[in-house]
Amino acid sequence: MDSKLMSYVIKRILLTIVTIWLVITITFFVMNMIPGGPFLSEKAITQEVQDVLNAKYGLDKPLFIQYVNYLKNLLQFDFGPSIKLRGREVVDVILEGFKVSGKIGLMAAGIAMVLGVSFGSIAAINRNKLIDNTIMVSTTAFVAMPSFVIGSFLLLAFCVYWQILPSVGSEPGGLILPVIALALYPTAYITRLTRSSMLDVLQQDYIRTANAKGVSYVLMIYKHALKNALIPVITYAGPMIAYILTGSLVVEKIFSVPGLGRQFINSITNRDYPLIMGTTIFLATLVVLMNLVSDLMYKVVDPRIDFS
Amino acid sequence: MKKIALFIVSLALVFAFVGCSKAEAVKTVDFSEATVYSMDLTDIPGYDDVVTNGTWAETYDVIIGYAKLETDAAKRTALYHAAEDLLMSTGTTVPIYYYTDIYMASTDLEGFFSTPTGSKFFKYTTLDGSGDALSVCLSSEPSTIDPALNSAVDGATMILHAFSGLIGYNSDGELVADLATAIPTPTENTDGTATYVFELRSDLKWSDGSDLTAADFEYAWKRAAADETAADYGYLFAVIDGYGTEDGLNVTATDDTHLSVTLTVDVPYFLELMAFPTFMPVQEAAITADADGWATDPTSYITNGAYYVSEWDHNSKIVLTKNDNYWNADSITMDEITFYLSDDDTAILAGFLNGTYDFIDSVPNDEIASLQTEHPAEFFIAGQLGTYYITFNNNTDFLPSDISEGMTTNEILEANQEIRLALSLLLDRNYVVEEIGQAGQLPAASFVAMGITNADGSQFYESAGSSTTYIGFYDTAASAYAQNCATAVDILSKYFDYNERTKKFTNFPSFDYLYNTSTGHQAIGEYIQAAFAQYGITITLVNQEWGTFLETRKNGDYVLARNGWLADFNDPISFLDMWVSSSGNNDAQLGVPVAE
Repeated sequence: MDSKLMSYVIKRILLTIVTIWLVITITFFVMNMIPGGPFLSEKAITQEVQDVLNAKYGLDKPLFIQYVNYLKNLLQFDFGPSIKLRGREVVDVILEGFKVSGKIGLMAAGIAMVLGVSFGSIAAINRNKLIDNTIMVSTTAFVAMPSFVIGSFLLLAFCVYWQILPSVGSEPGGLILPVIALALYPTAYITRLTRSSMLDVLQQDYIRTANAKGVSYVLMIYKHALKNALIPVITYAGPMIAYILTGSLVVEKIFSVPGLGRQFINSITNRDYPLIMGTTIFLATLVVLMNLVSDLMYKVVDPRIDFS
Repeated sequence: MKKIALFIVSLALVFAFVGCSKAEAVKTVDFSEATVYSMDLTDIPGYDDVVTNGTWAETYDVIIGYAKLETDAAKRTALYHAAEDLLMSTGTTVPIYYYTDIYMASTDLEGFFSTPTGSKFFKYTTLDGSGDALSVCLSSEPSTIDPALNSAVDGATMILHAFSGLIGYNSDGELVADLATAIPTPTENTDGTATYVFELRSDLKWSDGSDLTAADFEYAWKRAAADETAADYGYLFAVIDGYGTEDGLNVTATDDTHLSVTLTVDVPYFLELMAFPTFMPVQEAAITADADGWATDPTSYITNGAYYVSEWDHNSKIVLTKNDNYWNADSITMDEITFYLSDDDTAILAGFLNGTYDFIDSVPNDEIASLQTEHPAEFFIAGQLGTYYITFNNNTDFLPSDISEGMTTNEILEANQEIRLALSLLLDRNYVVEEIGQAGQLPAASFVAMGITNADGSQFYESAGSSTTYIGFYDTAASAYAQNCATAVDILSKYFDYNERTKKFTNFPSFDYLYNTSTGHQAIGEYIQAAFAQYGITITLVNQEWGTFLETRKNGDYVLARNGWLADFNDPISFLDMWVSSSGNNDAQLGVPVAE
């Protein structure tokens, strides 16, 4: 690795730490500003019980002290216990959820990248032909349709009417539909992205030169056009993978998948402060790291890019 | 000139608008010191004094306090009715309907029953004649299945399969002795307390094979009642003598098989409590080993009931397997129950329709009507001890300032009570249950739910109110609705201007209706809005996310809000206790001074 790249990576990692600290700080104080608390329910608990619980989770201390304590614990990788899921550690809840969400997400992201880039290239090469139009119409539909519509549709079709796939994520084969539901949107998006950027590239002079020099068509597309057309795709893919890995509330709910997305949303509804913090930090770290990875990928795709 | 005229007109409009919105804004008045109640309960020593000199809250506290200590069951029932009369006379709680419990069960499922508090029992079931395995979906991951800490209905069902108390339910759903050899008769002590001595069966075992003794009950109950445990339902132990004192609960294991329990006063629901999750025994060794986490892992979750947890895939499923160490294991017909965990009604219904689940406890609200017609044999509506109601903030003053001028606080209070009662008459509860609820709910005319019984076993709600022609505090018959509205208009006309031509009130202040985000609650809110609008009364619907809603309602930052209550056991006190001044559920702010 050259020294320029090295110093760039170090700078970015330092920036990452600052970004995550900012996320922690903002989340911590904003979260405490939302009305409601973890111990409120339709049936109120007695003041004595409330006091014991506040003391147990350190919520009886002034907010700033709570914040300092949280940071101290975090430096020792202690995310604390979940308040709502009594007796469970935040780290365990996150890792357990991520095991499932990560698995589905990785498959969905893989499918989206492979299919998206392929369809996009095919559409660009066959511009304005039937195949291009078909791809464009269907991707427009998938980009526009919200995931709860697609999810519910898949559930009804495959699990209720035809009954060929299980409706519960934990059953064998139960992850097929969630993966499809998760992959549809990014596949469609990447297809459109690849197509437009590929069309741009195909009009460049060097493609014409390559063509004139008699480079084979396949080689020209793969080696010259696609590589350059991938830059916007990489920009999109970094955060997309981060989001998809941390789970989708809608897809997880519809297919009863025990993933991280549900925990993230439920933690906010429940005002489960340690779990809100844990899931937010986890998501933020992943997004920032994936952004870094996609920035480094530029260099791989286009060596001319200079990090200084 | 034109500009000046325009300016004057707009100025006039602005003032008119400001004046108008001022007149429309409801005020807040501190009613906590007002007294207006008179009832004939002269039997209670010192009662007259409270009624004459005390506040509403003091009066109510006294009635409930006496009721709790009353040893005579008939007198206690009378006191409960007096308390409900007092509560209903304030007009703050407006019952809409009595809850029902909807579930869907496969036609192959036999031997299932549920209790009125919503616990489901699958122990004695067979599926298509076989007792191999059953799959059910009740809800998402329970917050806890520690018997002491649980306060949720789904958690209770799982706990009641894994644990077994002194008393339990037989296959007919009746209360019978479980770990106890028989249901004991209490001995009444000279100080009014009552002592039960339970004799435990010999050779009782935990699921890990170790011995279970009376001492385990003493430990479990004292743990659940202790402040440090911070159990939501710790207050249920208040029926036991010594609760909240330094000496602790008056519960003693006299030897391995005898447990002596002294109650402050013998209450009929004590036996029911013995079968309630909070009163299940827990193993001290398991809890000492991991006080926080013991109930989250199958290996440390030691049970004593019909089942033990053999597998727990968090947020996905909990598998219960028959516990051969349970004394009555021979009577358990189902070998394995899988509780699938899901929180999406549509997904749950899909799982039922494709045969993944044999039993589900919730269905999407929009599907109720079609499911009833398309799956009549699988769709069930059971009774439930609960009331859906709306709450007025007691500190709200609806009176226009020109009318309330010169009135005393008590007169203003009385007027507002009348106004609230009149508003509650404008609601057609039959419309709500038939068009919105659609699940066999019954229109409610009293606060204590249908299903809760008097001392003699008759229905409490049937003897509520003082009318001889209808049940409850107003007539909910569809035919009576027009008359109810006419009565309401008469009452409201005393305080507000009524336009005979448009049949609308012209100066009733507009106010907000607060509910938590949900299509069902919204539909009811929209109905209330429409019903009031017919008489010129404008309400604005305000929906808030659950946590925010709870806080707003608890703090009394509202005028009218959605509310609901489910009983934990069959006794009117489980409803009436929530309005005493020390309760955290007094959302109507009865007797609560206005915050500065």
